[in-house]
Amino acid sequence: MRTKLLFFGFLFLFLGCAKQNHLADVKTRTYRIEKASYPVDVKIAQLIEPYKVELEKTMNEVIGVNEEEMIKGKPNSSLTNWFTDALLTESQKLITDTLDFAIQNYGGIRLNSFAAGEITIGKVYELMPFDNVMFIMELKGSVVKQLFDRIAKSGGWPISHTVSFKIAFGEATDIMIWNKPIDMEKTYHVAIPDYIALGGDNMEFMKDCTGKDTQALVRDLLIQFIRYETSQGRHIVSNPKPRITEI
Amino acid sequence: MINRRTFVKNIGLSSILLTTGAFPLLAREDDVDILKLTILHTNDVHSRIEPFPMDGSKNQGLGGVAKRATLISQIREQEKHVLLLDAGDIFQGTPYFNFFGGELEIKLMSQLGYDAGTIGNHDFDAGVDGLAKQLVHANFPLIVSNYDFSENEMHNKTIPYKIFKKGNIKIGVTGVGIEMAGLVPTALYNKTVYNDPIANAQKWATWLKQDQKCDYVICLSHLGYKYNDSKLSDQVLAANTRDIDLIIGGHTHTFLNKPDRAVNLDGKPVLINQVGWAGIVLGRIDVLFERNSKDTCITCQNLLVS
Repeated sequence: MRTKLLFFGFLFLFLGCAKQNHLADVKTRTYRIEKASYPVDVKIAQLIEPYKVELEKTMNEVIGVNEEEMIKGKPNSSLTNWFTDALLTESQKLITDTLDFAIQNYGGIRLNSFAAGEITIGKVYELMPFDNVMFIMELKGSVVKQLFDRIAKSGGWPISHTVSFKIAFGEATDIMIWNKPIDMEKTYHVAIPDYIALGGDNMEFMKDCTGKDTQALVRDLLIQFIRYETSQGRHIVSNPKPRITEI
Repeated sequence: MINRRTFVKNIGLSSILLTTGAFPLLAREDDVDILKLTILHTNDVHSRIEPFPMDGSKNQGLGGVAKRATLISQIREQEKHVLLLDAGDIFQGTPYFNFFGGELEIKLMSQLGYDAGTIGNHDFDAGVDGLAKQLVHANFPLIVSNYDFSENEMHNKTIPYKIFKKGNIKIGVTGVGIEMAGLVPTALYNKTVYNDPIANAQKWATWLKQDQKCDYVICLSHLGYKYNDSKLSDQVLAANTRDIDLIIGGHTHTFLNKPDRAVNLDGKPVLINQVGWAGIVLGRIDVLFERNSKDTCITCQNLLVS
C-alpha cells in the first residue's frame, strides 16, 4: 500500500514536471519586393554577375537582319506570316513526309512589332519566351476543318502560306491546302506547337489525334531559320501572300 | 449602503478578478516560455533571378533574388528561429534557366539559406537527369513523398520528410508533388512514378506528429491552391488529412494576402498559404508556442484574441 502510494506520488511529480508545447498563436504577413524596397545584397549580386555577363553575351549575338518592321495582327499580318512560314521550313527538315502547313496560337507570339534591323538571340526570346516544343500531327481532313473553324471563330491565327481559307459567319470556307480543296478523308501532316497539340486554347479535340513530339523548341526553329537565311546571304522578309480572308 | 444586488455583483466581479488574476501568477510559477518560429516561404520563383525588366509590363521592377536576400537577412537578425521554405517550380521562366539549366537558381537558394524545397512540374523541364545534375549545388533537401524515382537519376536524391529542431520545438516537414501526366512531357519525367499525394502526405504527417512528437507539421505542396472541379488541390489535401498544421502551396501562382483556414478530418484548423510567383512576394508565418508543465495553455486564448 505504501509503495503503491509512493509510486503514484512519483508518477504525479513526473507528469507535473514534463513540459509540453502548446500552439498558442499564428501571425502572418507578406513582404512585397518592390523596385525601391530593399537594398541589393552584394554577395548575392556578385554570385549572379558572371552568369549575367555570359547570358548577355549570348543574348546580344546578332544572328540576322530583318528587312523591314513586321507587325502582329489578325487575320493575317507580316509577323504572323513570317513566323509560321519559318516554322514550316524548319519543321519540314525534321520529317520525311511532306508537311501540309504550320500553325501557331496567336497568343504565343509575344511581340506586337518585330523591329527592322539586326536580330539578336535576345530578340527571338522576346518574340517566343516559352519553351514550346513542335509536334507533327497527323490530322484527318475533317479534323483540319474543325481546327480551321475554331481559328475562324477567333478571327484568324498565324498560319503558313500553304493554306488559304475564308471566314464566313464564324466558319472556315473555301479551304485550300497546297492549292487543292481540302479532302475530308485525307490525312494531313501539320506542324503544331505542343501547347495546342495537347489540347490547349480550347483545342480539346486535338488530344485524340496522333502526333509526334519532335522535341525541337519553337524558338530554336526560329533561330535556326534566321541563321540559315543569314548563311545564304539573305535578310529576313515576310511573304505577304494572304492566308485567311474575312468576307 | 450596500443592497443585495450590488453585493452579488461585487462577488461576481471579484471572482472574475481572482480567476483571471491567478493566471499571471501561475505563469510565473510555471516558468512559461514562449517560443516564436518564423516560417518564410516562396513558391514558383521560375528562374526570376533579377527583378522583372523595366519594359512597361505589369510586374516591372518587382522581385529579384539579391533584394530578397537582404530582406531575409534582416528578418534573421530579428528572429532567432527561422525556417526558409520553397514550394517548387524553382526552374523555368527566364533565359537563366534556358542557358544554365538551373545551376544559378540552386546556388542562390543555397546561399540564401533555404532549409528545404519541394519539386514542381517545371523542375522536370531539364529532365530528371538535368535536375539531379544541379542538386550538387544544393545544401538543402528537396522533400517529396509521392514521387518514386527509383528507376531514374533522381534516385536517392530526395527525402520524404525532415525534422527541424528550433529551441525546444520539433517541426516536421513533408512534401507532395502534382501528377506529371498531361503536364510534363513523359521524356522529361522519365519513369518517375506518381503516387497518391493524400495517402503519402498522411503517412508522413501522422508519423511526424504521433510517432516523432513533432509540435508542428508542414506540408510543402505543388498541387495548386484550388480548382473549380474536383482536381486534387491544397484545399482537398487539407480536408482529407489529419496531423498537418500548415500547407505551403504553389503551382497556381495564387497571391494570398493571408493564409486560408481550412478544417481537417479531425475538425482541426489547417492553414494554407501561397505567395504568387516569381519571388514578387515573400510569405511569413510566425507560429508561437507556449511551453509549460500543464495540459492546458495559458496564453493561447489571450493570444488568439489579439
